[in-house]
Amino acid sequence: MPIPAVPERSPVRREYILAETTAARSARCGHERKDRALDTYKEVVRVLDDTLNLKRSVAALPEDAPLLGGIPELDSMAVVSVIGTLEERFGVTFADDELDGSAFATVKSLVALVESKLGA
Amino acid sequence: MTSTVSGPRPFFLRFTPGNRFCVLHAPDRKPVGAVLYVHPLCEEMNKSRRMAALQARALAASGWVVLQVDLLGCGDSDGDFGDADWQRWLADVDEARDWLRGETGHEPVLWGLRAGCLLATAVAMRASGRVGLVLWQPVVSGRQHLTQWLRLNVASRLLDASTADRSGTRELHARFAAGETVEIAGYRMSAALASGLENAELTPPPTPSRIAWLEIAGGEDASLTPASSVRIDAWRGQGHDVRGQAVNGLPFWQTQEIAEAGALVAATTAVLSEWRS
Repeated sequence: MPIPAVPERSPVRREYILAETTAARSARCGHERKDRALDTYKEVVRVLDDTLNLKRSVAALPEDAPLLGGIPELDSMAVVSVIGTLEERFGVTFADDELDGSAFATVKSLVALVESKLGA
Repeated sequence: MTSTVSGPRPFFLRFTPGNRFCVLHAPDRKPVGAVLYVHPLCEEMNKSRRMAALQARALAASGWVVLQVDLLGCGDSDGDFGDADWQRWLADVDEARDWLRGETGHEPVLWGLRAGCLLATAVAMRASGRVGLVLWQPVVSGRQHLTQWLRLNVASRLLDASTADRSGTRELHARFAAGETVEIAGYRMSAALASGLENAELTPPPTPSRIAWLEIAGGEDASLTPASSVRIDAWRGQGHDVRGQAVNGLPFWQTQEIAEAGALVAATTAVLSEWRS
Protein backbone atom coordinates (compact mmCIF):
# COMPACT_ATOMS: atom_id res chain seq x y z
CA MET A 1 0.00 0.00 0.00
CA PRO A 2 1.43 3.42 -0.92
CA ILE A 3 1.79 5.34 2.31
CA PRO A 4 2.23 9.11 2.29
CA ALA A 5 5.72 10.10 3.33
CA VAL A 6 6.35 10.00 7.05
CA PRO A 7 7.37 13.46 8.24
CA GLU A 8 10.95 13.83 9.40
CA ARG A 9 9.90 14.59 12.91
CA SER A 10 7.08 12.16 13.34
CA PRO A 11 4.89 12.99 16.30
CA VAL A 12 5.75 11.07 19.37
CA ARG A 13 3.03 8.95 20.89
CA ARG A 14 3.09 8.66 24.59
CA GLU A 15 2.97 5.16 25.94
CA TYR A 16 1.42 4.75 29.27
CA ILE A 17 2.01 2.29 32.00
CA LEU A 18 -0.87 1.09 34.04
CA ALA A 19 -0.16 2.10 37.58
CA GLU A 20 -1.15 -0.26 40.32
CA THR A 21 -3.35 1.26 42.93
CA THR A 22 -2.92 0.39 46.54
CA ALA A 23 -6.58 0.34 47.47
CA ALA A 24 -7.21 -2.51 49.81
CA ARG A 25 -9.47 -5.37 48.97
CA SER A 26 -11.94 -6.32 51.60
CA ALA A 27 -13.72 -9.56 52.17
CA ARG A 28 -17.19 -9.96 50.77
CA CYS A 29 -20.13 -10.37 53.06
CA GLY A 30 -23.82 -10.62 52.44
CA HIS A 31 -26.21 -7.71 52.43
CA GLU A 32 -29.86 -8.44 52.89
CA ARG A 33 -31.82 -5.94 50.90
CA LYS A 34 -34.78 -6.31 48.69
CA ASP A 35 -35.35 -6.49 44.95
CA ARG A 36 -34.68 -3.37 42.95
CA ALA A 37 -33.42 -1.35 45.89
CA LEU A 38 -30.74 -4.00 46.31
CA ASP A 39 -29.95 -3.93 42.60
CA THR A 40 -29.72 -0.14 42.64
CA TYR A 41 -27.48 -0.22 45.68
CA LYS A 42 -25.20 -2.80 44.05
CA GLU A 43 -25.12 -0.90 40.78
CA VAL A 44 -24.34 2.39 42.51
CA VAL A 45 -21.51 0.84 44.49
CA ARG A 46 -20.22 -0.77 41.32
CA VAL A 47 -20.27 2.58 39.54
CA LEU A 48 -18.36 4.17 42.43
CA ASP A 49 -15.92 1.29 42.49
CA ASP A 50 -15.31 1.32 38.72
CA THR A 51 -15.23 5.08 38.28
CA LEU A 52 -12.93 5.74 41.23
CA ASN A 53 -11.01 2.49 40.75
CA LEU A 54 -11.40 1.69 44.44
CA LYS A 55 -11.00 -2.06 43.95
CA ARG A 56 -13.25 -2.72 46.89
CA SER A 57 -15.96 -5.27 47.21
CA VAL A 58 -19.54 -4.22 47.71
CA ALA A 59 -19.19 -5.05 51.39
CA ALA A 60 -16.57 -2.33 51.82
CA LEU A 61 -19.15 0.34 51.09
CA PRO A 62 -22.19 -0.10 53.33
CA GLU A 63 -25.17 2.17 52.85
CA ASP A 64 -24.10 4.59 55.56
CA ALA A 65 -20.56 4.92 54.21
CA PRO A 66 -19.71 8.62 53.86
CA LEU A 67 -18.81 9.61 50.29
CA LEU A 68 -17.77 13.27 50.12
CA GLY A 69 -15.08 13.66 52.71
CA GLY A 70 -15.00 9.90 53.29
CA ILE A 71 -13.44 8.77 50.01
CA PRO A 72 -10.38 10.82 49.07
CA GLU A 73 -10.68 9.83 45.39
CA LEU A 74 -14.08 11.50 45.21
CA ASP A 75 -13.20 15.06 44.22
CA SER A 76 -15.50 17.32 42.26
CA MET A 77 -14.27 15.98 38.91
CA ALA A 78 -14.82 12.40 40.04
CA VAL A 79 -18.34 13.35 41.12
CA VAL A 80 -19.03 14.51 37.57
CA SER A 81 -17.80 11.14 36.25
CA VAL A 82 -19.98 9.26 38.72
CA ILE A 83 -23.06 11.29 37.78
CA GLY A 84 -22.43 10.71 34.08
CA THR A 85 -21.88 6.99 34.53
CA LEU A 86 -25.04 6.66 36.62
CA GLU A 87 -27.01 8.45 33.89
CA GLU A 88 -25.76 6.11 31.21
CA ARG A 89 -26.06 2.96 33.29
CA PHE A 90 -29.66 3.63 34.36
CA GLY A 91 -30.78 5.53 31.26
CA VAL A 92 -31.79 8.62 33.25
CA THR A 93 -30.89 12.32 33.13
CA PHE A 94 -30.27 14.49 36.16
CA ALA A 95 -31.17 18.17 36.04
CA ASP A 96 -28.89 20.80 37.54
CA ASP A 97 -31.18 21.40 40.49
CA GLU A 98 -31.29 17.71 41.42
CA LEU A 99 -27.57 17.60 42.02
CA ASP A 100 -25.96 18.97 45.11
CA GLY A 101 -23.54 17.93 47.80
CA SER A 102 -26.25 16.31 49.91
CA ALA A 103 -26.83 13.63 47.26
CA PHE A 104 -23.19 12.64 47.69
CA ALA A 105 -23.24 12.52 51.48
CA THR A 106 -23.48 8.73 51.74
CA VAL A 107 -24.03 5.71 49.55
CA LYS A 108 -27.62 5.72 50.77
CA SER A 109 -28.29 9.30 49.65
CA LEU A 110 -26.82 8.56 46.23
CA VAL A 111 -28.98 5.43 45.89
CA ALA A 112 -31.98 7.58 46.86
CA LEU A 113 -31.14 10.06 44.10
CA VAL A 114 -31.08 7.28 41.50
CA GLU A 115 -34.23 5.67 42.88
CA SER A 116 -36.04 9.00 42.62
CA LYS A 117 -35.37 8.99 38.86
CA LEU A 118 -36.43 5.38 38.42
CA GLY A 119 -39.81 6.11 39.96
CA ALA A 120 -39.94 4.18 43.19
CA MET B 1 -0.69 -3.66 -0.73
CA THR B 2 2.85 -4.88 -0.43
CA SER B 3 3.64 -7.56 2.09
CA THR B 4 6.52 -5.54 3.48
CA VAL B 5 4.25 -2.95 5.06
CA SER B 6 3.75 -3.69 8.73
CA GLY B 7 3.72 -1.99 12.08
CA PRO B 8 2.09 1.34 12.85
CA ARG B 9 2.87 4.03 10.28
CA PRO B 10 2.26 7.68 11.17
CA PHE B 11 1.46 10.03 8.29
CA PHE B 12 -0.73 12.97 7.34
CA LEU B 13 -3.76 12.97 5.05
CA ARG B 14 -4.52 16.26 3.33
CA PHE B 15 -8.17 17.10 3.87
CA THR B 16 -9.97 20.38 3.34
CA PRO B 17 -8.88 22.31 5.25
CA GLY B 18 -5.48 21.17 6.51
CA ASN B 19 -3.80 17.91 7.37
CA ARG B 20 -5.04 15.13 9.58
CA PHE B 21 -2.64 13.03 11.57
CA CYS B 22 -3.16 9.34 10.91
CA VAL B 23 -1.70 6.06 12.08
CA LEU B 24 -2.09 3.07 9.83
CA HIS B 25 -1.76 -0.42 11.25
CA ALA B 26 -1.32 -2.92 8.44
CA PRO B 27 -0.89 -6.69 8.54
CA ASP B 28 2.15 -8.35 7.03
CA ARG B 29 -0.06 -10.27 4.63
CA LYS B 30 -2.98 -9.70 2.32
CA PRO B 31 -5.55 -7.88 4.46
CA VAL B 32 -8.86 -9.51 5.27
CA GLY B 33 -10.63 -6.20 5.70
CA ALA B 34 -10.37 -2.60 6.84
CA VAL B 35 -11.34 -0.81 10.04
CA LEU B 36 -11.59 2.92 10.69
CA TYR B 37 -11.31 4.09 14.29
CA VAL B 38 -13.36 7.11 15.34
CA HIS B 39 -12.09 8.60 18.58
CA PRO B 40 -14.09 10.14 21.43
CA LEU B 41 -13.99 13.76 22.63
CA CYS B 42 -11.58 15.82 24.70
CA GLU B 43 -10.04 14.01 27.66
CA GLU B 44 -11.74 10.74 26.74
CA MET B 45 -9.67 10.72 23.57
CA ASN B 46 -6.44 11.14 25.52
CA LYS B 47 -7.32 8.54 28.13
CA SER B 48 -8.12 5.96 25.47
CA ARG B 49 -5.09 6.36 23.19
CA ARG B 50 -3.45 3.30 24.63
CA MET B 51 -6.52 1.07 24.26
CA ALA B 52 -7.06 2.28 20.69
CA ALA B 53 -3.45 1.44 19.85
CA LEU B 54 -3.65 -1.98 21.53
CA GLN B 55 -6.84 -2.85 19.64
CA ALA B 56 -5.47 -1.61 16.34
CA ARG B 57 -2.35 -3.72 16.77
CA ALA B 58 -4.39 -6.78 17.73
CA LEU B 59 -6.56 -6.39 14.64
CA ALA B 60 -3.56 -5.86 12.38
CA ALA B 61 -2.05 -9.04 13.79
CA SER B 62 -5.18 -10.90 12.75
CA GLY B 63 -5.12 -9.51 9.23
CA TRP B 64 -7.03 -6.20 9.33
CA VAL B 65 -5.86 -2.83 8.10
CA VAL B 66 -6.74 -0.27 10.77
CA LEU B 67 -6.67 3.49 10.27
CA GLN B 68 -6.68 5.89 13.21
CA VAL B 69 -7.27 9.50 12.30
CA ASP B 70 -7.18 12.54 14.57
CA LEU B 71 -10.13 14.73 13.62
CA LEU B 72 -9.74 18.47 12.95
CA GLY B 73 -8.38 20.25 16.01
CA CYS B 74 -7.67 17.01 17.86
CA GLY B 75 -4.41 15.28 18.70
CA ASP B 76 -1.72 16.03 16.14
CA SER B 77 -4.00 17.18 13.34
CA ASP B 78 -4.20 20.75 12.06
CA GLY B 79 -6.43 23.27 13.74
CA ASP B 80 -7.31 24.12 17.31
CA PHE B 81 -10.04 22.34 19.16
CA GLY B 82 -11.92 25.63 19.09
CA ASP B 83 -12.04 25.38 15.26
CA ALA B 84 -13.73 22.01 15.34
CA ASP B 85 -17.35 21.59 14.46
CA TRP B 86 -19.51 18.52 14.21
CA GLN B 87 -20.19 18.72 10.47
CA ARG B 88 -16.47 19.05 9.76
CA TRP B 89 -15.79 15.99 11.87
CA LEU B 90 -18.44 14.00 9.99
CA ALA B 91 -16.76 15.06 6.75
CA ASP B 92 -13.37 14.00 8.19
CA VAL B 93 -14.68 10.53 9.00
CA ASP B 94 -16.25 10.33 5.54
CA GLU B 95 -13.02 11.33 3.83
CA ALA B 96 -10.93 8.97 5.92
CA ARG B 97 -13.29 6.13 5.07
CA ASP B 98 -13.09 6.93 1.36
CA TRP B 99 -9.30 6.96 1.54
CA LEU B 100 -9.17 3.65 3.40
CA ARG B 101 -11.62 2.03 0.99
CA GLY B 102 -9.56 3.28 -1.94
CA GLU B 103 -6.33 1.95 -0.48
CA THR B 104 -7.58 -1.46 0.56
CA GLY B 105 -10.52 -2.24 -1.70
CA HIS B 106 -12.50 -3.18 1.42
CA GLU B 107 -15.55 -1.35 2.78
CA PRO B 108 -14.23 -0.18 6.15
CA VAL B 109 -15.85 -1.32 9.36
CA LEU B 110 -16.47 1.78 11.49
CA TRP B 111 -15.23 1.40 15.06
CA GLY B 112 -16.23 4.13 17.47
CA LEU B 113 -15.59 4.79 21.14
CA ARG B 114 -18.04 6.85 23.26
CA ALA B 115 -18.99 9.98 21.26
CA GLY B 116 -17.04 8.52 18.34
CA CYS B 117 -19.98 6.12 18.02
CA LEU B 118 -22.28 9.09 17.35
CA LEU B 119 -20.00 10.16 14.48
CA ALA B 120 -19.56 6.61 13.18
CA THR B 121 -23.28 5.86 13.11
CA ALA B 122 -24.06 9.22 11.50
CA VAL B 123 -21.56 8.49 8.73
CA ALA B 124 -22.95 4.96 8.40
CA MET B 125 -26.38 6.51 7.78
CA ARG B 126 -25.03 7.85 4.50
CA ALA B 127 -23.75 4.48 3.31
CA SER B 128 -25.61 2.78 0.52
CA GLY B 129 -24.91 -0.82 1.43
CA ARG B 130 -24.50 -3.01 4.45
CA VAL B 131 -22.26 -1.52 7.10
CA GLY B 132 -20.15 -3.04 9.85
CA LEU B 133 -20.15 -1.08 13.10
CA VAL B 134 -18.20 -1.70 16.28
CA LEU B 135 -19.49 0.45 19.13
CA TRP B 136 -17.42 0.68 22.29
CA GLN B 137 -19.41 2.01 25.24
CA PRO B 138 -21.49 4.15 22.92
CA VAL B 139 -22.85 7.52 23.94
CA VAL B 140 -26.54 7.33 23.01
CA SER B 141 -27.50 10.97 23.51
CA GLY B 142 -25.29 13.81 22.35
CA ARG B 143 -27.22 16.25 24.50
CA GLN B 144 -26.60 14.22 27.63
CA HIS B 145 -22.92 13.87 26.73
CA LEU B 146 -22.59 17.62 26.22
CA THR B 147 -24.22 18.27 29.57
CA GLN B 148 -21.77 15.86 31.19
CA TRP B 149 -18.87 17.89 29.77
CA LEU B 150 -20.47 21.14 30.86
CA ARG B 151 -20.78 19.83 34.41
CA LEU B 152 -16.98 19.88 34.62
CA ASN B 153 -17.24 23.67 34.54
CA VAL B 154 -19.70 23.81 37.39
CA ALA B 155 -18.42 20.82 39.39
CA SER B 156 -17.26 22.87 42.33
CA ARG B 157 -20.62 24.68 42.48
CA LEU B 158 -22.52 21.40 42.26
CA LEU B 159 -21.14 20.29 45.59
CA ASP B 160 -21.37 23.58 47.38
CA ALA B 161 -24.45 23.31 49.57
CA SER B 162 -24.14 26.96 50.59
CA THR B 163 -24.93 28.26 47.13
CA ALA B 164 -28.47 28.29 45.81
CA ASP B 165 -27.13 28.78 42.29
CA ARG B 166 -28.06 25.62 40.43
CA SER B 167 -28.24 27.32 37.03
CA GLY B 168 -24.89 25.72 36.03
CA THR B 169 -25.23 23.79 32.80
CA ARG B 170 -28.41 25.56 31.70
CA GLU B 171 -26.53 28.83 31.53
CA LEU B 172 -23.74 27.20 29.50
CA HIS B 173 -26.25 25.65 27.07
CA ALA B 174 -27.72 29.16 26.67
CA ARG B 175 -24.31 30.62 25.84
CA PHE B 176 -23.87 28.04 23.08
CA ALA B 177 -27.34 28.85 21.79
CA ALA B 178 -26.22 32.49 21.57
CA GLY B 179 -23.30 31.40 19.36
CA GLU B 180 -20.57 31.72 21.97
CA THR B 181 -17.47 29.56 22.30
CA VAL B 182 -17.17 28.16 25.82
CA GLU B 183 -14.05 26.78 27.43
CA ILE B 184 -14.70 23.45 29.12
CA ALA B 185 -11.96 21.88 31.23
CA GLY B 186 -9.28 23.38 29.01
CA TYR B 187 -11.04 22.76 25.68
CA ARG B 188 -12.55 25.68 23.76
CA MET B 189 -15.79 24.30 22.38
CA SER B 190 -17.45 26.22 19.54
CA ALA B 191 -21.20 26.71 19.30
CA ALA B 192 -21.10 24.76 16.03
CA LEU B 193 -19.54 21.77 17.74
CA ALA B 194 -21.90 21.98 20.70
CA SER B 195 -25.02 22.22 18.55
CA GLY B 196 -23.93 19.29 16.36
CA LEU B 197 -23.20 17.17 19.40
CA GLU B 198 -26.41 18.24 21.11
CA ASN B 199 -28.52 17.07 18.18
CA ALA B 200 -26.69 13.77 17.69
CA GLU B 201 -28.51 10.59 18.69
CA LEU B 202 -27.22 7.06 18.36
CA THR B 203 -29.19 5.71 15.40
CA PRO B 204 -28.54 2.53 13.41
CA PRO B 205 -28.11 2.67 9.62
CA PRO B 206 -31.18 2.43 7.37
CA THR B 207 -29.91 -0.82 5.85
CA PRO B 208 -29.77 -3.95 8.03
CA SER B 209 -26.21 -4.05 9.32
CA ARG B 210 -23.80 -5.98 11.47
CA ILE B 211 -23.27 -4.20 14.73
CA ALA B 212 -21.14 -5.14 17.73
CA TRP B 213 -22.15 -3.25 20.88
CA LEU B 214 -19.44 -3.80 23.48
CA GLU B 215 -19.39 -2.46 27.00
CA ILE B 216 -17.11 -2.51 29.99
CA ALA B 217 -18.51 -3.49 33.35
CA GLY B 218 -17.00 -4.29 36.71
CA GLY B 219 -17.05 -7.71 38.29
CA GLU B 220 -16.93 -11.20 36.89
CA ASP B 221 -20.66 -11.14 36.11
CA ALA B 222 -20.34 -8.20 33.73
CA SER B 223 -23.65 -7.43 32.07
CA LEU B 224 -24.96 -4.84 29.62
CA THR B 225 -26.65 -1.85 31.19
CA PRO B 226 -30.44 -2.06 31.29
CA ALA B 227 -30.61 1.00 29.00
CA SER B 228 -28.35 -0.66 26.40
CA SER B 229 -30.26 -3.95 26.41
CA VAL B 230 -33.49 -2.16 25.54
CA ARG B 231 -31.87 -0.32 22.65
CA ILE B 232 -30.16 -3.43 21.29
CA ASP B 233 -33.47 -5.30 21.28
CA ALA B 234 -35.07 -2.43 19.38
CA TRP B 235 -32.32 -2.48 16.76
CA ARG B 236 -32.69 -6.24 16.34
CA GLY B 237 -36.38 -5.62 15.77
CA GLN B 238 -35.38 -3.33 12.90
CA GLY B 239 -33.50 -6.18 11.23
CA HIS B 240 -29.97 -5.46 12.39
CA ASP B 241 -27.63 -8.25 13.36
CA VAL B 242 -26.54 -6.91 16.76
CA ARG B 243 -24.07 -8.60 19.08
CA GLY B 244 -24.36 -7.08 22.55
CA GLN B 245 -21.68 -8.02 25.04
CA ALA B 246 -20.28 -6.70 28.30
CA VAL B 247 -16.78 -7.61 29.38
CA ASN B 248 -14.98 -7.18 32.65
CA GLY B 249 -12.66 -4.20 32.89
CA LEU B 250 -12.13 -0.60 33.94
CA PRO B 251 -13.75 2.37 32.17
CA PHE B 252 -10.40 3.28 30.60
CA TRP B 253 -11.74 6.43 28.86
CA GLN B 254 -12.22 8.11 32.22
CA THR B 255 -9.95 6.44 34.78
CA GLN B 256 -7.43 8.69 36.46
CA GLU B 257 -4.61 6.32 35.58
CA ILE B 258 -4.33 5.06 32.02
CA ALA B 259 -6.01 1.65 32.07
CA GLU B 260 -6.16 -1.34 29.77
CA ALA B 261 -9.15 -3.57 29.19
CA GLY B 262 -7.68 -6.69 27.65
CA ALA B 263 -11.02 -8.50 27.61
CA LEU B 264 -12.48 -5.79 25.38
CA VAL B 265 -9.63 -6.14 22.89
CA ALA B 266 -10.10 -9.92 22.83
CA ALA B 267 -13.88 -9.65 22.40
CA THR B 268 -13.55 -7.11 19.59
CA THR B 269 -10.96 -9.16 17.73
CA ALA B 270 -13.17 -12.23 18.09
CA VAL B 271 -16.24 -10.47 16.69
CA LEU B 272 -14.34 -9.18 13.67
CA SER B 273 -12.92 -12.67 13.03
CA GLU B 274 -16.50 -13.96 12.88
CA TRP B 275 -17.50 -11.20 10.47
CA ARG B 276 -14.58 -12.05 8.22
CA SER B 277 -15.48 -15.69 7.86
